[in-house]
Amino acid sequence: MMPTDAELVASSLRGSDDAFRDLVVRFERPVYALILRMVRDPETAEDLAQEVFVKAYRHLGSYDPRRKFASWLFKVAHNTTIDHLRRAELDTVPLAADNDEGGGLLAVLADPAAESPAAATERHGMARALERAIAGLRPEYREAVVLRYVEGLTYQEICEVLRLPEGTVKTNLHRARKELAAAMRAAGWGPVAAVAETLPREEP
Amino acid sequence: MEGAGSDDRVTAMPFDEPQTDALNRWLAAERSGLDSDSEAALAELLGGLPRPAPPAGFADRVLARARPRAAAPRAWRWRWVPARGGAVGWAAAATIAALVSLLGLLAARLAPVSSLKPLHPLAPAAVRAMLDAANVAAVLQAGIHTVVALGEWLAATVVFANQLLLLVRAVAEPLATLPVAALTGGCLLVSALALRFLYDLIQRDRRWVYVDPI
Repeated sequence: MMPTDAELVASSLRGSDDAFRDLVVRFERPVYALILRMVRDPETAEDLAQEVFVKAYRHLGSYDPRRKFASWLFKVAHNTTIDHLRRAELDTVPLAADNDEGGGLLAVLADPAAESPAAATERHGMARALERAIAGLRPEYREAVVLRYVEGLTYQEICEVLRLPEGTVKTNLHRARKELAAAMRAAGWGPVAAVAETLPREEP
Repeated sequence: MEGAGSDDRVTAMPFDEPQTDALNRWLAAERSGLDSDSEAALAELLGGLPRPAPPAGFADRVLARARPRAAAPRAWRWRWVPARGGAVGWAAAATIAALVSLLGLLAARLAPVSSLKPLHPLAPAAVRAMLDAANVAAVLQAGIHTVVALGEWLAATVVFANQLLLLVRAVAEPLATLPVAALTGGCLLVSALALRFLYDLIQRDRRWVYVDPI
């Protein structure tokens, strides 16, 4: 039977490096994926993810085992990312720089006819379209979306991670869903009726 | 995914039929304003997104970084300066340096350049040339110039210090009264506390609005 997060934390606090390694292996993907979505640079994301786990290792004693370990770790990740961006003064949403299509993500989102569904399916598929839509969200919306819909955190847990009131989190998620849906429709995804209403379709 | 290095991971995992269905359900729920249905469908949809993984060996790198490192010895530290109680060591070093300098100055004063003449044949060519060029008159002249320059600098310093003293007295005189001193101290304390509070507030408040221009 797999040990729980709290058990692994307790073992780590007793000095077991193996237990902490298990914690790292268990959470490396969620933490790295969250940070990568925020800083948009794989090398920086790995460095920050390492920093998150090092901070967690050194401050494991301050973790309250009655709470969810993932929430605590995501909070460390959130703070570490914000602190890094404050130091680096980076633009976390370089929409114009995302020009792998030649026109940039901003251009794709702004111009619904830029990418037809067939072309999108051929080139990137729905996953890529979704990632593009998520990347186009404001950072606070993007982080809330990832925590809620990818990592499955509750509203209360998201409030703890982001230090925001529940109403703000709910509003952010509501607006984020609207923006995501609009972006997906603009990219040509969704029910045919909806697409037909929102998009001037191009003839092949 | 946003990063260039992770694009392949995303495109490598195509969506299947149920996820296409989830997309349609989500967009339909959004259009109908059914929040709970929309949330459920979106969670199903995004739950199927691939999670990029950090490069292999991530856990090892984390553990290597997390373990406390042994302090590397400071190669440049002089052996006679004690590692602990550094203040005493540096004071001793400064005293020795001052003594050596003083002895050097005394030796230079007591032994004029002409007294170095017996060493003349043993000295290197460059030193011999310097000794030949030097004479007592030149050394005396240079010394007098130095003393005059020092005197001028000292006089300027004294004048400046005097003006500074007058200013400090003018400021300190009202402060000598208890109410003014208490008021000034209170103002300074409030300012310091406010500055500290503001700094802590900014440091703790990690909202995206403070780091992102959008």
